[in-house]
Amino acid sequence: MTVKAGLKNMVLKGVNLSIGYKLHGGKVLHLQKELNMELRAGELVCLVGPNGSGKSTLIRTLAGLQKPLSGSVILDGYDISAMKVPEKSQLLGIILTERNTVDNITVFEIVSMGRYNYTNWLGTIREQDRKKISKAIYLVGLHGFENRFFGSLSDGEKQRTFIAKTLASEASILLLDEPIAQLDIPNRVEIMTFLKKLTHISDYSVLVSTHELDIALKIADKIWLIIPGDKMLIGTPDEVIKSGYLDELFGNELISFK
Amino acid sequence: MSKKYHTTLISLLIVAVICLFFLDIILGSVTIPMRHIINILFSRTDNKGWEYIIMQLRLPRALVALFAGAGLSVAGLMMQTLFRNPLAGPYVLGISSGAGLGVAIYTMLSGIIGTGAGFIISKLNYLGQVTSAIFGAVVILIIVISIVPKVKDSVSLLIVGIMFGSLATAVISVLQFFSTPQLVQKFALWTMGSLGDVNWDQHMILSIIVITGFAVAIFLIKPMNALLLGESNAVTTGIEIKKTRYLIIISSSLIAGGLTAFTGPVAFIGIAIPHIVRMLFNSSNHKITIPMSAICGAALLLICDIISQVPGRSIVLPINVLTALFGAPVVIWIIIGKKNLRTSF
Repeated sequence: MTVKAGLKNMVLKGVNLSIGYKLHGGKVLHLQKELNMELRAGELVCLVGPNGSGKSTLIRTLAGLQKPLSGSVILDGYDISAMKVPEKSQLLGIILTERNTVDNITVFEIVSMGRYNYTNWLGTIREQDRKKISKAIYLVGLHGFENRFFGSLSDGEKQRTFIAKTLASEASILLLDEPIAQLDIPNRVEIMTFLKKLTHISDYSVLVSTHELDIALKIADKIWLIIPGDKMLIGTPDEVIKSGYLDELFGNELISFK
Repeated sequence: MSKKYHTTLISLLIVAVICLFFLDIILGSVTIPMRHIINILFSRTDNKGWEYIIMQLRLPRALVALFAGAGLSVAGLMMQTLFRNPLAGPYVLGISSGAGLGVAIYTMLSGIIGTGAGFIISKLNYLGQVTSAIFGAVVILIIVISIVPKVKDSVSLLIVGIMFGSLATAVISVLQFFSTPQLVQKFALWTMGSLGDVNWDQHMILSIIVITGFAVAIFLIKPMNALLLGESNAVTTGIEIKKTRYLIIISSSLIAGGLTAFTGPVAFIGIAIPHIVRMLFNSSNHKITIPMSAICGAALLLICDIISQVPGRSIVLPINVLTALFGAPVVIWIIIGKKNLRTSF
């Protein structure tokens, strides 16, 4: 097992986080209150919860893209709200659900954006950048696709291109919002297995929000289960299943988690 | 698409622009022998009339065509990238409508005062138009910039810009309604655009404004490439979105506003050229599209200018007529021929 120096103790923490939105007229929509959680190195965490419970909001808040209503997000010992965008994006790799990328941009060009914070003002790719880009493309299994246009890729390949981009950025904490929602079943399993592999081979911390309970329960080291209006249940898949909350939130007469 | 194809295409386009630039100087209503033109450009000549035509009329005019074609295309490209909208162009923020409003107010007011001070007004005519256009453009620019922090995404900004455009057009209509036919005609002439009114002194100001805009645009190549991933992906990549938005707006407004002030609005170049460039090079990478839009834009406007002067005749067609005649079919052709237009910018 290879461990990158310095990554070992990198953690992302939420301390007394209240998440939600400020609405017009000074009203506040609280999605969750007083959440405490920690994403450790070498850990794959799946964030699950019913629709509208605040999964995306929590990811955006942890990513520093949105301010918490109260509490704070601590990245590598620093409050994330005090960090600059380039600093943050060197530590955090974020993949959101937005799919608004142009079609005539190549896989290589997208992955090379991962080097954004390391290249000069013109974005010139140096030899050391090229190596990291090629390695990232190789890791996600897109070797040979470098000059393919984004528009010509399948959904799974598109998702892997973006994962390669965050790998090229050398970020050690990856936050992914619904990365497998658009994919067919083989691709879902493949992407999740790949993410799991990442946490093992080089101590990445990976947080994935997903609707795919079955995959999440099989593959995750830890589950963060958002229980609407109450709190968040944190535990291993076994603990979460035993808690009985899954039936309460997702079960019906056809599906049971017991 | 191979590297060799790109290099060949780039060299061809650069040669084309240089040829067209000289062609624009050579051709005109007065036929001047080639030998004399070279003499005039590189040394002196005894024919003062020809020297005046070349040095004071055709050379500055060709330079304006070069600057305007390049500038409007780059400004249009920046707007298309920022708004991710194929119909965005250099005028989309309403900056140029502001310039138009400035000119309209100036023209109509000069009509009211003009009867008493006709001589002074006619003397100050062009300069007054330019000053009022710059003033109008700056006012709208300040309003747009003050709105930037209040909107969440760039699309809202696009809508605000279009609303400013409509607002300015409405005010202009009101002014025209209460104005005399002569003044309305004068203003209508301004809206048709003209490349030939800029003298050397004004050329200095125009060049400084446009070159500043260009310089900023070149520094924006990297963040604009990130914007191709989509706005939130660009943010997670590491661009400072607010700063980038400000700079794109300021740079494209400098170019579009500055040019509109001196030439009037020039249609279509700014919308059509970025599409043509993306199609020719099959790439959205701004390292290619920024310089190549400048070169293709300059080439197209030079062609339009050559035709508008109807070589050998003494009439000059308004430049806007030509750019639209060229631009509209090109845009239609691209939309029909390229099915993935929606996602290629």
